[in-house]
Amino acid sequence: MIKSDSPLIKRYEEKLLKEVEFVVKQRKAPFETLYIGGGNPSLASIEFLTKIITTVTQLGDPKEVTIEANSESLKEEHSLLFEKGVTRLSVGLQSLNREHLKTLGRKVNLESNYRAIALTNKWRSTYNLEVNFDLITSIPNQTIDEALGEVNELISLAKPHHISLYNLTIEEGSELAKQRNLPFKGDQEEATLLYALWEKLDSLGYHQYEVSNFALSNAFQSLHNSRYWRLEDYLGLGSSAVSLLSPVIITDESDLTTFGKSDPFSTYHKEELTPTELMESHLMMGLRRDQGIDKREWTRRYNIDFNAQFTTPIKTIKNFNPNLIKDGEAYFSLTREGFMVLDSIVLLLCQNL
Amino acid sequence: MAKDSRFIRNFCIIAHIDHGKSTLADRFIDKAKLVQSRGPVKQQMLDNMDIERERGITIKSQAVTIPYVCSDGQEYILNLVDTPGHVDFSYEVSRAINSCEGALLLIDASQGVEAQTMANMYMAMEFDLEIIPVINKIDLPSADIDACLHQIDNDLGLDSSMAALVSAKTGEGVDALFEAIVQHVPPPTGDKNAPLRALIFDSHYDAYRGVVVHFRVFDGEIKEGQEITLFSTSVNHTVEEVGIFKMGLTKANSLGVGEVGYLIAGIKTISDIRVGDTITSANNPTKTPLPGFKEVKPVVFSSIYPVDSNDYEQLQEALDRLKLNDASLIYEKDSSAALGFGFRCGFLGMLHLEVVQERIEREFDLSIIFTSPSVRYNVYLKNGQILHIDNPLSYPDVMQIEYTEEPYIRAEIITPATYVGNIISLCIEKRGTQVALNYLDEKRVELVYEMPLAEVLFEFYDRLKSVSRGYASFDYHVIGYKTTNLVRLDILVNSEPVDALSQLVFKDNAASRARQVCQRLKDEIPRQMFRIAIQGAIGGNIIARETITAYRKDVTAKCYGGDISRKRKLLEKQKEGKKRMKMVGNVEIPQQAFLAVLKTTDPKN
Ligand SMILES: Nc1nc2c(ncn2[C@@H]2O[C@H](COP(=O)(O)OP(=O)(O)OP(=O)(O)O)[C@@H](O)[C@H]2O)c(=O)[nH]1
Ligand SMILES: [Mg+2]
Repeated sequence: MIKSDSPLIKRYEEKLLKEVEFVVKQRKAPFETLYIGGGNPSLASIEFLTKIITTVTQLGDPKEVTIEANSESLKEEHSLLFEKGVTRLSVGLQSLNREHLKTLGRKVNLESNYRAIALTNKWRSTYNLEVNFDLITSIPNQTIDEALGEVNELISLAKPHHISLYNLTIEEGSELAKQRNLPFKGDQEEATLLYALWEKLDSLGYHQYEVSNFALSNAFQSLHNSRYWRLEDYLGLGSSAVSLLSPVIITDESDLTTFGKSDPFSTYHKEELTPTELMESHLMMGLRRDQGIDKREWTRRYNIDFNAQFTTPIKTIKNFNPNLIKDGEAYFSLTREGFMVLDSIVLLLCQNL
Repeated sequence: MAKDSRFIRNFCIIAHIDHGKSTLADRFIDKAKLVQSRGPVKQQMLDNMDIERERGITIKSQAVTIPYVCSDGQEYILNLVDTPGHVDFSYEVSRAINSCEGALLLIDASQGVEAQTMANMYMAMEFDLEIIPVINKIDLPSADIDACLHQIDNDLGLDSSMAALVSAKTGEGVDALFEAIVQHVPPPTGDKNAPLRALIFDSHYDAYRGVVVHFRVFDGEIKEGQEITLFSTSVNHTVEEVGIFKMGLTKANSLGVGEVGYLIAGIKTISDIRVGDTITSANNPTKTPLPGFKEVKPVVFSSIYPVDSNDYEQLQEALDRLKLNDASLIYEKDSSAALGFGFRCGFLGMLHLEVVQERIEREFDLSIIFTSPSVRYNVYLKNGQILHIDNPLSYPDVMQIEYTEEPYIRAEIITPATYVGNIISLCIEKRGTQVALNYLDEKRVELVYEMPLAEVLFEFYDRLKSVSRGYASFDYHVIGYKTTNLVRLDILVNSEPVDALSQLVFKDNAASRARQVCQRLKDEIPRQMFRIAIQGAIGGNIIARETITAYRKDVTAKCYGGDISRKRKLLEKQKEGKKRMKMVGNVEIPQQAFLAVLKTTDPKN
């Protein structure tokens, strides 16, 4: 475990701050959003986070400033940040069930989850703060009733503005993947579970504006992530951060330990997407949103008519299961049934690029 | 200086499958100390292809030169050819026999004479080879030497007093066998002063040196630097290197009458090299080429397609190179609506087909699909025309057909008497007609049947082995054509016909075959985003059907997590995976599904 006052972290912070300062110097207009997250930003000192925020806000206030934290690293002092301009707090809970947390192998424990919920409730009475909680579902051994119970409990305890409900991803080579005896769910079970959860969230007033994201009202959708799903440009700084400056993707290839040892920007790797790759990415990201893909926007960007480009696959889908899509005048989007097979639909469409 | 041909002996080891040919070859190689044994000694050293080692059978004939000092002190050169025993590879045996003066006919002492023992013996007799019967595996407790001696006299009509008794495993009797070879196998005859005549019996491709030609000298001499002509094409080449096979290639100065070896001559055009062709000297060419080999007749046909259509050119190159090392492989261009461009190939049997498939995949790293194998039918049209059809895609409209004929074979089956009943039932099921039933002795029966080739190619061998607990053996020859009732079975996936899965079948077998294919496809095609209907049809009539339900959720990729660059990587990976699939309409059919349909034996059988 790396301590937040280790020399490693100090060097990391110094370099990152230099990069942020450089970027801010190049720019005049304020950023629309700022998102401090990815990895574990709660490792960083409050002092450092404050510096970053004040540097970025020199250009003017973004519409949304989010900070991400795991429940166990959330501290009273974080409240200082809300005075410096943070408008949104995103807390990773994963689960409200001790057994399932154990299965996930997270450092997060149930007590810290409850403490984090209590803290956010307290802060919300003082600050004008939007709160998101992350939950994971389809955990082996998790029943539908348990999953629904966790959502119910979270909402009755906190009624957050926003909930991210992720379906468990088993990364190749991860600890979880190695536990072959765990009863991982099959497609039938997962689908049944997800439909139940999505309907539950519906009934409690949460709108599914993206496959895994739910907002209590449109105003509480994540502005930052929406840019990302619409394939609009964004800048990411820090180890393994990714930026999109269409058609270029920039990835920082350093890790936490090497980042601070190198010159500012020296570890960033540029990759230019071909028009096809850009369109693939657009489908991949855009179809995650309930709104789907804006056909006019597509034509504007790629100079090709969406309907004409995808006549064949869309015809196939309509022939074989019209319930998967909504092919409207202005938007092409997926239904809930379609969300279930999002990857397959994206692949099918990509084959026609 | 070429060796004196009086001290050369060329012989092959022939036998029924598994009687111990390659193991006996090991003992010869040990004797000559060709291999410095370090660590555990490899068995069946001449079986050097991975696929031979995995399956424990010899697929290719393999030549090796062994120096031997006879009991009288004279040094001899023994050129030995280990041959395969499986009936599909009898072309390998016939070429070996053609290049030798003698043959060791091995008989497993615990099994006795079996079908290929006879078949291979007749082949050796046809070429006037000196045959030395060898009873092998005498170390086995179940060895019955007396019975074998009796069979050598009675079944084979050879002289059992000539028989050598050996154990290829322990080495017992091998020394005496060496002496017998030197004594009984005649030395090569040939004129060392005549123009060069050398017979190409095999070849292979070496990534660094190009084509390596394997040959035997009949007349004259061949040496480095010499200008040679390949008789059939009149192409000239300069010999860069000649040598002999000593568990690998060993350079020599020159090779003379009776010697067996290789040459390298910077040959780039693979098609210049034809097995059976005569190599002669460019400056002093012979007028009469060697007779060469009998033309090989494929019995089963199938098309090969690359899984990724971009690999077509590589497939062409792979087949060209494989052909160098597998003279029995025959192919021509073909195309299919479902699979694109490929090759129609002829094979000597289903095992041969499997071997070709595996060699292409392993040696050339290509993913390929085979279409349903078929025999060649005669189709008589109402307009008097006759078509010879082995490809379901070229089967004419039924309205034009007067009648059809299919190839028949004569099968000779040798079995312990106990299993006669089972075997007769099997032959009847396979549409066989009995020609003869002979008791070879009190315990062994020879059954002769005429059967459709199509029935014998697909699963007959495995069934025969299972109904006789492995004891029956069989050999067959194509004898001609007989009238049949043929239909084309089409397979439809979501109503689209998959031409590559169509097959020509005997009408009464069509329904069960259709059900089998649909079932296998159902087992092999993974569930997809849409429901999949699989149907078997004759003309417009659906005779079998299976359905694969759609999956309700993607579970493999699970809504790509992470940032855009991770997501892109996952997408690329999935796209890569798709390349191993064939799209038919909106259905992805994995390579495995095509191969499963091809499998002739039902695993549940
Ligand atoms: N006990 C015993 N086993 C033997 C002897 N010779 C061969 N075998 C065994 O018989 C099996 C077949 O031997 P191979 O030498 O591969 O037979 P083969 O005739 O070359 O077979 P194919 O090339 O496939 O036709 C192996 O398991 C050998 O170990 C022997 O003298 N005694
Ligand atoms: Mg062998």
